[in-house]
Amino acid sequence: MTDRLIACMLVTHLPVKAEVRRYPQLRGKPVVITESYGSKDLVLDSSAEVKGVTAGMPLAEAMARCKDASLIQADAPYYNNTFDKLIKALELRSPAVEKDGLGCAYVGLEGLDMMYGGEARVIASLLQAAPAEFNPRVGVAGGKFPAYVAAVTTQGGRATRVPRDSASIAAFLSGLSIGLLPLSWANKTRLHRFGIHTLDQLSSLPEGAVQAQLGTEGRKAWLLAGGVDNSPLVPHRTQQVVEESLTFPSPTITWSPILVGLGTLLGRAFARPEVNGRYVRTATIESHVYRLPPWVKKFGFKEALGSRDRTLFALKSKLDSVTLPGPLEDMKLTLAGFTGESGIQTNLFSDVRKQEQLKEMMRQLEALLGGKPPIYQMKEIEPWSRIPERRQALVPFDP
Amino acid sequence: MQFLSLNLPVPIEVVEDSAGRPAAVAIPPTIDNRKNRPTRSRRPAQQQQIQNPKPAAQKITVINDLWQVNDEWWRERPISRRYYQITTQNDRRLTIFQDDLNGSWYWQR
Repeated sequence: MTDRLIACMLVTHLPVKAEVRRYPQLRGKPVVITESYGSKDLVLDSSAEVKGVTAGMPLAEAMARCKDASLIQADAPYYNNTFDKLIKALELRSPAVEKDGLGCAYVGLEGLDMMYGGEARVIASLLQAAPAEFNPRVGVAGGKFPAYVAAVTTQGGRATRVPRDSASIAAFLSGLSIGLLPLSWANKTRLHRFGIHTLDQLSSLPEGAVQAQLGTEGRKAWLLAGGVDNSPLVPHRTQQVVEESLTFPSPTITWSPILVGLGTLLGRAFARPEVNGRYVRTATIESHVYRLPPWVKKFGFKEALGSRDRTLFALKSKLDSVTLPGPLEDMKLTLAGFTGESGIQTNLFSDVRKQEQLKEMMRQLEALLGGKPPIYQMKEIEPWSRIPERRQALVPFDP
Repeated sequence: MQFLSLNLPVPIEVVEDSAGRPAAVAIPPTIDNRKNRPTRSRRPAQQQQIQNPKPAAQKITVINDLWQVNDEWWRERPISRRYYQITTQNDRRLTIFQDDLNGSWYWQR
């Protein structure tokens, strides 16, 4: 029994629906969206007209099952942008919105019924957050996984609520396919080969046996199959960004028009009132490439930059080592990591300056990697120990 | 936050004489212990091991020193090691030890 109330907002086949929204002539036709992992081509998504094809399936296998399908290279920036708009619409309705995979978001509902005048009105408001052609579904439960299953099993444009006691959750999950579990394609296939096709079949097995076969992923799946999901709702953190874009008159692969375009975009971005007097740490360039998948490149700056010219100079030097995948059709510049720091005052003492440089370096790496960089420092832990491996250790570097 | 131990003992193969002292030792050729380092390779560890040739055993020419360390006997996993400082036939001076609890040999770097 849990006091939490979580809604899962699900837009199934978001890539296909986004493509149909962009190219209406694809409506009602078999469409397969592919993405490349190194030399492997896998299916990202497919339309309802394509039978027997699922996400993650190798493209060759998918084509063998549906020969007349139209193939589309995945346009990840476009799908992410579409999904971000949906997340923003949900954030207008609830302060706690977690972004999961593409098309799936979890919304914390605690306290919202008081504001909206009942749970039904909250759910209706969530369904209205997405465009009607996306046909969203909503599942409501005490945990994220039961809410997700409720959303998957309900019809488009509708909502299902799962009772919060454990017996009702188990009854609700009984008979549903293990395909709903967050397991890899290989592990799902493996379970099917063992004759385990439903969630109740999986949860009736001993926990240790499942873990022995599938590792930690298997243990998590076993708990979820029993309706146990205590994972917290992690609200999506909105980062302020400034975006500017342009379209080239014709696809271009030479650097001079690209750099001119970049200068124009930077000029426009730095003239925006939200950037005025502030400094940026990262820039991302996204482009559609002629007859190739979109190209995305993120650049982190050594120090926060506060003018068009300095940012352009930094980007030019970084682009020297970049090879373009093909002719660029357009260019979108996203500036992020804004700071109010107007300059760096150096210290009189050299050792303090070094420390500041190290701190700055760590900040750059954090901005680039999106988390704590894996840099360690050797520290004496028990230098007196008779056991040599106890004397020193590597600890995370924190200048 | 996670601490990473430095200079962890490396398991090695040792041929013992009739008195239980080390007579020959097979030590990895490099000083660094690459198995304990983070690696970008996605190949399974087993495949990597197949490609690494098994180190050749070196005869021990002299045992320069030996000492016993017994520590942490009050803990669940006590430490009991017999250390040997040895010189091998290719003139390498190494410190190795035998774990008295499981009988295995290790190279202490």
